[in-house]
Amino acid sequence: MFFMTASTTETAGERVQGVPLAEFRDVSLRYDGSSESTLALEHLDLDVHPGELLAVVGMSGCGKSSLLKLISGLVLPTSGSVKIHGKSVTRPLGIVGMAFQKASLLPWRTTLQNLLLPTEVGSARRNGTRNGEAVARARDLLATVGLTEAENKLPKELSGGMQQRVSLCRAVIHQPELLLLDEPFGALDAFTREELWGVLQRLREETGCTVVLITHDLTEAVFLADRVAVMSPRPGRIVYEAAVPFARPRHLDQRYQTDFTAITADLRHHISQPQEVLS
Amino acid sequence: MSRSRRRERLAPLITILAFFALWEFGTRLLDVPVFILPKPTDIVASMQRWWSPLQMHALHTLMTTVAGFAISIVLGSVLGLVVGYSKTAHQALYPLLIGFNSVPKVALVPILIIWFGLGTIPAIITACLISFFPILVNVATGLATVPQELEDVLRSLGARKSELFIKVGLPSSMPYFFASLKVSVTLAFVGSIISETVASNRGIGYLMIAASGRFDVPLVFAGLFVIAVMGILLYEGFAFLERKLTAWAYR
Ligand SMILES: Nc1ncnc2c1ncn2[C@@H]1O[C@H](COP(=O)(O)OP(=O)(O)OP(=O)(O)O)[C@@H](O)[C@H]1O
Ligand SMILES: [Mg+2]
Repeated sequence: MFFMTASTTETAGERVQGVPLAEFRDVSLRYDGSSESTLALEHLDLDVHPGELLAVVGMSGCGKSSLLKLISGLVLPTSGSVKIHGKSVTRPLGIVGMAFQKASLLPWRTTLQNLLLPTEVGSARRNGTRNGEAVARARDLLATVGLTEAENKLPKELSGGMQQRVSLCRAVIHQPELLLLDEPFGALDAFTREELWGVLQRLREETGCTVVLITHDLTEAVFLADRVAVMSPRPGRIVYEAAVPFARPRHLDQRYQTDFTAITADLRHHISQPQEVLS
Repeated sequence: MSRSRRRERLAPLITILAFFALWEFGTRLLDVPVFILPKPTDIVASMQRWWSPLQMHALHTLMTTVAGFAISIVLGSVLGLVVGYSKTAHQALYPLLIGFNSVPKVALVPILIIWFGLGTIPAIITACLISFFPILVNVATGLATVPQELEDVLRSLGARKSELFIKVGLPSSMPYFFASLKVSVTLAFVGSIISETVASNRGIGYLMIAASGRFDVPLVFAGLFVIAVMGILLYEGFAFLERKLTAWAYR
């Protein structure tokens, strides 16, 4: 059996210890397709602590997106338990915000209207979020990500990077406790991606929310995260965790320093060895 | 206006003029008899001569088309919304609808006459039956184009299916809806004319049948001209509406 490297996890500096915000215990998830069923996750154990940014890396198809769907309550585990604040998730709780590789903004809505969409549905609407408050918050967010000018533009008038900023803002407009990001920078060019790393850092400082970030890019993972979890190929489990001890906010130059590259190399090493860990 | 833009505007006009010029000179050159293929000038002369009955019958066909099309919009969108919203309804209704759509509507006209008698009502019904299907298919398709990511974003917030439908599905289907209208309206027009040709005493279809009974071939062609022009106007009218109302969908 493989044991998680407890010593590495302990060094996660400023992490608040105690009850995890989200916890996975021996979770497996099976998708039943029309002809065959796919075991996407098996024996998955993972904690997400309040206030941290956890990056999850792993090969394509190993079940990273499925992990997010489980936290958000969009799918339920086949076995094992997924808990938020110690309670089993049985349906979407409305405490998460999500953003994906595709910005998927509504083409007929302006930037501001797109931002407000989450406040118009579900629990936010039923709890009666005041529109004035939401608009003020949306404008603050736009200022944070440098899009004040674009408030009244339609998505087709925005560049890919700008659309992705809007998508990030939309994910936090309703003040979620947990921000779930599924390769949000995957479709952007290298320079825009670096810019958006800064945007995400700022958003995080501003909102203080806990983040789970899925990415294929190890540099991105180490640059942004407090902790990086590595998943095995399908069926996915967490096979390694590494803490990233650098203070925040981080600067782009840090990427080339040896203590930084040592972590990415270590992670890379654990991604490429899927089978040994079983023995 | 730039030169290429002007050329774009003029091109259709030039092809139409060339088409008629060729027709005119061809029939003159080959000396084609009027009762086989009248020259465009014969047709225009006939139009002038029969202008007032042409106008009356054309207007009647237009009213029939509009009435049938109005019903078809309601029927097509409601069925499209039902089929697009509920998977069960989709599975239950689609085979029947497709089967129905493959029946040639002209074959239904005799039945409609038995039920409703000669005249306007069978024409309205034919116009409706022939044109609702494209609307249905487009609305249903539009509803189904909601991106999975957006659905996840909203469902994770506890959004109900009805909220997704109102906020996302319905507006996304609008471009599809309007795109289908311009196609459907010409179909409706065809439907009412078919029915008038088979069984009516009014409308441009009836006028053409009556004219052909008298071997007044120029008048038959005059009727065709009027139909073509009305078809273009209806199509362009709805194409204009589409561009105005769903501008956000175009780059
Ligand atoms: N709705 C579904 N129905 C059936 N199988 C699914 C479904 N969603 C995912 N899968 C399968 O589950 C496995 C894990 O999928 P998932 O999308 O979680 O992977 P991923 O790690 O996010 O991949 P990628 O890095 O390519 O985005 C894959 O083999 C996929 O084919
Ligand atoms: Mg994925």
